[in-house]
Amino acid sequence: MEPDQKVKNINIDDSVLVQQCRLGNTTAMERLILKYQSRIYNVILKICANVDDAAELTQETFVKIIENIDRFERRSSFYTWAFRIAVNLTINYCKRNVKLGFSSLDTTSNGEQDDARGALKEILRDESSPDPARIAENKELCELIIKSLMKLDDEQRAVIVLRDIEQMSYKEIADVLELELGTVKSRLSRARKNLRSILEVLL
Amino acid sequence: MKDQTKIDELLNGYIDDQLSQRQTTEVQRLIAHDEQVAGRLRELEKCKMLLESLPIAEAPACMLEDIKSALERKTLLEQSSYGFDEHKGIRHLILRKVLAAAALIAIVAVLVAVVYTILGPQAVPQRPIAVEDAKPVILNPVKEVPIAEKPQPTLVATAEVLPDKPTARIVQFAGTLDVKTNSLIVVDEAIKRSIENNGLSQCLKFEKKDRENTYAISCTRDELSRFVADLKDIWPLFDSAALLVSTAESDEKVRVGNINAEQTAEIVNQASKFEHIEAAKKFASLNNTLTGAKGTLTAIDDGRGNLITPPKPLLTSGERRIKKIAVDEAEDETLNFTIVVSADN
Repeated sequence: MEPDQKVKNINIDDSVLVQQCRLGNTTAMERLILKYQSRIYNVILKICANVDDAAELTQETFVKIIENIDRFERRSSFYTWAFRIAVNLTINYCKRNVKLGFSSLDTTSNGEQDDARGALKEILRDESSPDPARIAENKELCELIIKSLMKLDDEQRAVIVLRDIEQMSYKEIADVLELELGTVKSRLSRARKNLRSILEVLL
Repeated sequence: MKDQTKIDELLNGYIDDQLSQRQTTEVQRLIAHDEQVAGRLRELEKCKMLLESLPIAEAPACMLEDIKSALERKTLLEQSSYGFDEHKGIRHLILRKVLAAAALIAIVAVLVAVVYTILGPQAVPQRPIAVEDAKPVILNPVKEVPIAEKPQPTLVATAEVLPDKPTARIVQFAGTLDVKTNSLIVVDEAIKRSIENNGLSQCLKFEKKDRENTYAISCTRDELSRFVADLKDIWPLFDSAALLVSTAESDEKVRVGNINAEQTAEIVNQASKFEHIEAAKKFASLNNTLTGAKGTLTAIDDGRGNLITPPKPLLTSGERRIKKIAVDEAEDETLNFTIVVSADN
């Protein structure tokens, strides 16, 4: 990689904060944490589907980031490097605790689940585009979607979360998951197809 | 199927706005002409939209503080871990394990030794065991049986029959000195003192008859040599002395008449049975010759007007070679020497 290209990969704010953090500047470290904590927490929560685990994994991710900040080689952006740590920790955690994620979603009653299913059916059958705000307000529907998401395998779930929730480009996903671009495309395609099938089954 | 997969990937790229201009145009043309592809696109868009509609979760408010606390905790742990040498700790742990194992083995060994002492076979007698040598000592002779039927000799029996020293010591020499004297009491006293001085009291068999004392001594060559040497002092009190020499293995007996102390000592000091006899024969022959010349050589003039009795001849140097003592043989041999002292008249 050319030096110029390496510089382009680093967000200027992030690169400064990382440099100061390496020098022991605690303020820079706090700013890095504050900047990314919610985004990392959100991605982890969507992958592991457990609030407490997500908080703990987020904390562990930042401890690892701070501990290893001297090893950050700037071949990729700090953003993708940080998310790589978060996603790897979370996927490893999910593989160790397969049943935990599902059990946390079994809190809704049968009646609520029926309502959510009805809403989902309406959205999927309706020819017009649904209103995202209405979906976000329906807590049961959101839980149903997350439950469907949890039925995907860990790798497919990570790809679809990074794309549709964190809004990463294919290139960034490839960097985070250390995959080829073509692999990201095919894996994302299979993930959406499988998710659609899971939603149909739920209805 | 492959085309379908390819179309799906293109549709996904289309909704994610990740296609090149050419690919975007191609997808748009497909959608316009293929209702099935258009329906598939709508499904993918809804699926994407459902996920995008999920509320964004905010990190807990205490996240920053929790992270800082976790970092401090970890730093403290690392600092405290620098306080001790991990390898030293491992070595210490291994050493403790090894010592514990050694102690356990030692305890087990002691226990085994105790159990063996209690339950093990009886200790073997310390005295030497010579199974083959047990044969001569047969307390209850039994009828000869074939080798296969013969009972094996037992250790205990064998050990019991072995004496500390051989019971039948080889009698190398047997001599009887027949002495006649007018001083029986003095000679008796001197012989007894000599026996006592040489530690031969235990080996003595004394017999007293009317005017005749018999001293039978059974001892080693050295002891007898010392004893005979002591007799030299009382020899002039003997009116006559004759030595009868015999051996245990032979019936041959040699009598040496007119024997003196030196000749007696020489005969006693010979190394073997054969040499005892040979020496006795020579002295007997020599003394007989002197006896035969009695009257002609009993006294000679010493050139100063004095008559002296010539000393009895001794063996020459060439004959003295037989005087050498065989030490090996002397160790186990026993010499029997008897003095019979009788009074003249």
